[in-house]
Amino acid sequence: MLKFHQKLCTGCHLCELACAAAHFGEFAPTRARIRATVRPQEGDCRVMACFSCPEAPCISACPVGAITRPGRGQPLSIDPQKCNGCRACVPACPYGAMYFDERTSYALACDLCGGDPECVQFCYPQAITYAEA
Amino acid sequence: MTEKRCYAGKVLRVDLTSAKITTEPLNEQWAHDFIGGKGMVFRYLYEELAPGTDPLSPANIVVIFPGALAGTIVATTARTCVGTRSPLTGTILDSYVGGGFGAMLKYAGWDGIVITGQSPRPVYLFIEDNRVELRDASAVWGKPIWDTENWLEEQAGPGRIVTLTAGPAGENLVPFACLTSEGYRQCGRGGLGAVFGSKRLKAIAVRGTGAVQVPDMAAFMALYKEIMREHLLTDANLWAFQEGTPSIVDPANTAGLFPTRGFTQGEFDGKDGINSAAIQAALVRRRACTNCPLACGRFTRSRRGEVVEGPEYETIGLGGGNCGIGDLDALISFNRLCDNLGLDTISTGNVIGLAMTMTEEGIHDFGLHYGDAEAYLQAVEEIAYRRGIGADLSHGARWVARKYGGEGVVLEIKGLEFPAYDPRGAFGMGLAYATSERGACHLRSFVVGTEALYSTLNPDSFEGKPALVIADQNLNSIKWCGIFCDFWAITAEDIAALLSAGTGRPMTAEEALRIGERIWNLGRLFNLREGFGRKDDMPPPALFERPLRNGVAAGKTYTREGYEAALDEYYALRGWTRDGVPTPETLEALGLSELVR
Repeated sequence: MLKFHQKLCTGCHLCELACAAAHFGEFAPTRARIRATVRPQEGDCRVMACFSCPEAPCISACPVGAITRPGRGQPLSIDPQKCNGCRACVPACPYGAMYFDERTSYALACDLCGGDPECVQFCYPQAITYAEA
Repeated sequence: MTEKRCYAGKVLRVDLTSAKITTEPLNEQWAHDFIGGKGMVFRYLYEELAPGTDPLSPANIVVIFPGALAGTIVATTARTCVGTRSPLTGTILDSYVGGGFGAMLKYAGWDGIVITGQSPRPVYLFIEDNRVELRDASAVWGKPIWDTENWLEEQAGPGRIVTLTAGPAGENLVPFACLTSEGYRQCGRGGLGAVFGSKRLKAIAVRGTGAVQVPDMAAFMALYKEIMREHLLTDANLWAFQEGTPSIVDPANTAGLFPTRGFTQGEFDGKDGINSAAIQAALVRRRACTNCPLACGRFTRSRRGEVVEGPEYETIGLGGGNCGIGDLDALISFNRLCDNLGLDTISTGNVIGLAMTMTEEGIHDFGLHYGDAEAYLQAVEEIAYRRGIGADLSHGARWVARKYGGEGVVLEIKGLEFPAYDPRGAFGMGLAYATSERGACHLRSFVVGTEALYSTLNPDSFEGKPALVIADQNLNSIKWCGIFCDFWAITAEDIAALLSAGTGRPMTAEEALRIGERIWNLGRLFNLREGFGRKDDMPPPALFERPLRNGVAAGKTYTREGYEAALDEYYALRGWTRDGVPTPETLEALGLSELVR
């Protein structure tokens, strides 16, 4: 799972670019499954992506059953064929970790890049770390 | 366009007089010859600014270009170059801001912005992808930077925006007013804030929801990951992450070139209050520019509870040592005031330090004394609002020196005040300051690093320095087309490789350096057209006549013959005449002949 160490986040947004590049082949922060939130004047930085929380309220919030979890501790799976773009999952997430791709109109949750998360490779301050579940 | 590359392919043009907003295609020939960032800014300024344009008149223009690689994952490239004719120096001006403005502009689908004219009322430019509007800014006219930024965010609604804002100093046309992004990041030098103020342009706010492409993502990432591992996350650059620019304070004192008490000393007895260890003790957290792992930014908190991102080395040098201030709390207040009012800390610390020296030496009584924190902080406010002693000091150090008889003590070149490396402790740096197109600037060549700070290469001699200065200037000119940050010691080979992978046009290191040289010569042509020449490439009298009073460089001054010989050598190596004019052969070789006709 991804782990976040918010005190170490510098707000560089590199995780977003690494994610979008890996999944969509372009540098597009608005298409990332991981996002940094920064308040520049205060210097507050935090990074968040889906870490497959035990409750996963997004699963029951989805009216079409597009979100599933293959097993405990496994990343969520979102079926783009089923997702109807209603965005009910976005506010349902208590961590603000469910995102939405305007271009394809479906929800985005971290898929751990199949076990070698690209964002971790670009997080020099180690605000994002990965440990196998 | 189906072809994938890092350019967006279009440039935004905004005329403030008519409120007309138009789109023009990226000039492909210019993009080929001048790449982006500094190169594109200089090309536009040379093309569109009539000689003799008053910098604060509607006829001046502002050109904004991120680098070609802005918005990609390549470290430090979210930087933005903003250019104009400087109201402080009258020279061509390129000034750079970190943060995320450049990347955001590219995500909005723009390679650059050209701003002309003057608005009849205060406005700000709002850009959300293809939606571009001039909006009323009367609600924040007169407001400091941070209030304005917060207001812009409220107006923009949900979703990240990045802004570029002028403060009260800019509105009041202080010729060293800066532009600010993300609270504490500035186009610091040369007075862009005043040019915004003269145009009644309070700010630019950008939200980009699109993407930046590269020709072959897999190849691009493979190349970049290798460069990142081998040539970025290495000791040569990680000082920025570990300590940041405050790390320069101790070596600068050891080298005897730390600006102290109006540049009368090279070693500051109060430096332990404001050096890297002191900053470390006040550290709150690190903060990065967009797309940069080096995260050199540092938030500090004073004992009074004031928080700022900084102070950086230049602010420590000019606002600290140069004003005789060794108290970090006072320095943090100075940093906050300058940042919020929109003043360049380098010029501000210079002009206050100069007034202190002129007062102490009985040249003119400004009522300012070294180390008087209260009076010094009050002076910052008075400069921004041009009242009290600020009515005089707000004109800049050259003007103050000329008006009150301080020509013998002032430290400036072409009207731009000295950065925090006293060139009596690093002779090559004097040549670097003097040959910089925008006046005394430490960034075009950082030869001080080689000659005095981190190794000692005859710091009190010009021998071999002209060639080193030229090599830096050419390399940095192409580097700032990327735009790569000064804090990444990147080679021409890596610059060329990354630009090739981004633009899809193969470029060798040799070609990259040739483009850098072309840009440097274009800046020279602009300044020559404005009447600058050899006479303006001269250090101020103090470097010849007033030795520093302490430190390892104490007692050292330039000789006229020594400096003139170094300048001759510099011109000869550049392919310029003894008057500092590029020869026809030089221009021909650089593809610039047509520009002088």
